[in-house]
Amino acid sequence: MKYSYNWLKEYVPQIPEPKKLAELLTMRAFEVEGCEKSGNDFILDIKVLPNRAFDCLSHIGMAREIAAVGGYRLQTTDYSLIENKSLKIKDFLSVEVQDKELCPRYSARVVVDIKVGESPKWLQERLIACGLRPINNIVDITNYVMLETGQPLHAFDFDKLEAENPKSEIRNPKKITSSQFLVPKIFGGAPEKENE
Amino acid sequence: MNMNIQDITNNFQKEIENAQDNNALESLRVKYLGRKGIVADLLNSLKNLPVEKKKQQGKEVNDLKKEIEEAIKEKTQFLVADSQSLEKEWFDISIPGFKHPRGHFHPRTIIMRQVETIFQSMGFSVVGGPELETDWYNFEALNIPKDHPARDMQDTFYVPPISEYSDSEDLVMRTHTSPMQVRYMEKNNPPLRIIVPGRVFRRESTDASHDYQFYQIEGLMVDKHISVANFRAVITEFFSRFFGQKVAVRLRPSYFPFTEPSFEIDISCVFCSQKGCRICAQGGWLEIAGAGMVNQKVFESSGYARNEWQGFAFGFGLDRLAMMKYKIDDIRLLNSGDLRFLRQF
Repeated sequence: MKYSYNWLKEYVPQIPEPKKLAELLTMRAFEVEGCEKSGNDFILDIKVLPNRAFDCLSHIGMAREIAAVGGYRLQTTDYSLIENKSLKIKDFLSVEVQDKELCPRYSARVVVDIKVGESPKWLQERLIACGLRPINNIVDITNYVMLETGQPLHAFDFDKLEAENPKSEIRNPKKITSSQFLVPKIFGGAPEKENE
Repeated sequence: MNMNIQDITNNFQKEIENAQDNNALESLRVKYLGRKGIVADLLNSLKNLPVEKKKQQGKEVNDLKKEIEEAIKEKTQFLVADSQSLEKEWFDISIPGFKHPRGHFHPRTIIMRQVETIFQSMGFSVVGGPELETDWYNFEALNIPKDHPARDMQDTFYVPPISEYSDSEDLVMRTHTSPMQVRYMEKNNPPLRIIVPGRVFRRESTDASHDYQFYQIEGLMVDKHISVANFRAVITEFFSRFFGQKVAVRLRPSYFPFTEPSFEIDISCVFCSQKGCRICAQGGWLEIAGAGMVNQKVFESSGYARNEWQGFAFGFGLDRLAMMKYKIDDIRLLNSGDLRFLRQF
């Protein structure tokens, strides 16, 4: 997977120089297959093998690994949600999982007052650095969160879900696809090539 | 006169029979057909004869002349043909005999024998196994279940089940020589030391450093107390002896489902003594093998009790070693069967 050096640095302020970092990771964790300058940033191509895909195929995950092998402090951002406590999600949305074996857990949330448009420049740049194409702020944020946390997610247009019984159906994760990424890979542990 | 011609004919027959070369023939021709030859004499003597006799005798002399000409011509041709065939069949018994060309070993065979010799001297036995393998030995027994992402690490030739030979078990062309770890441990008890050289198959497109079939050497050492330190010692000794120089070994973390922990093995560049060259991409290290401590699950697959034994396993590409030793720049040459290539070894 491709990682943005600047992005990693946000989580590990003491991160070593790109070349040193590549050497540190190669000797202590993963083979670094590429380290290229791209504008103000460096793109590291890090080969994460299947045993560590679950926790290291994301920037926070990789930052955690770097902090661990290098003895640096990890600094992740806190966030808070603005929720309207008087509204009940059950009135808006239900989720039906037809095969619990293939999808043990699926969570959804309704976000309101969204204006579709372009993502901020810095976010677009990060997506491009990691090999993704910016589409719009909705699609981009799902991809951004995936690259950040390793959790794949998908945005549905609430207005276009069936109105009478608003329901996001998951029959078999293999069947659900979106224009952004394939859902099945989420649950099986995504091989890195799918993210490139 | 009549008698005379008959005598002449008889004499000529005898003489031509005895003529063995062109010179003899030529003098024979002069003697009979020359300007002062016997035939000319006969013709001369005709002058004095009456017309009737002249006609009759003249015919006889002419027949004789033709006969002699024919005979000489025939004999000349015979002599020429004879001399040619002699030339052709000329046999010089003094020429020394030539050597029958003898076969020689394929570069991979040479390397394989060197590798085997070194390991045998360290107490390893050489064992072999099937190239067509069951899914169980190639994957499942080595801790690679069907839905495991590690299966994507190797592209596999899956083979349709052959009902005659197996109870419709899933078959694959072995992707590594590791299935022999389990096959061997099923039948043998530790302590054990083996190497398994053999051909393996990968479903991938070929280039200068990849082929869809190549050779691997698998190694396995199991006992109560085997550690990474033992592995380091064995592998360092092997590569030092193989390359005929002191070689440093470094281990990097890696992952194989059948070992835990797993590592990649780099050796110090044997071409530039770590000064940095084209072959080691200026890094001073050559990535050469994969290894690790045998995963307890593999011992379980082999029928050993969990946590009873410890061991290391390793594998490396034989073709890669041959390429390094002989400076071959394209792996595909090894399977090409190209005599221009093979005759160099």
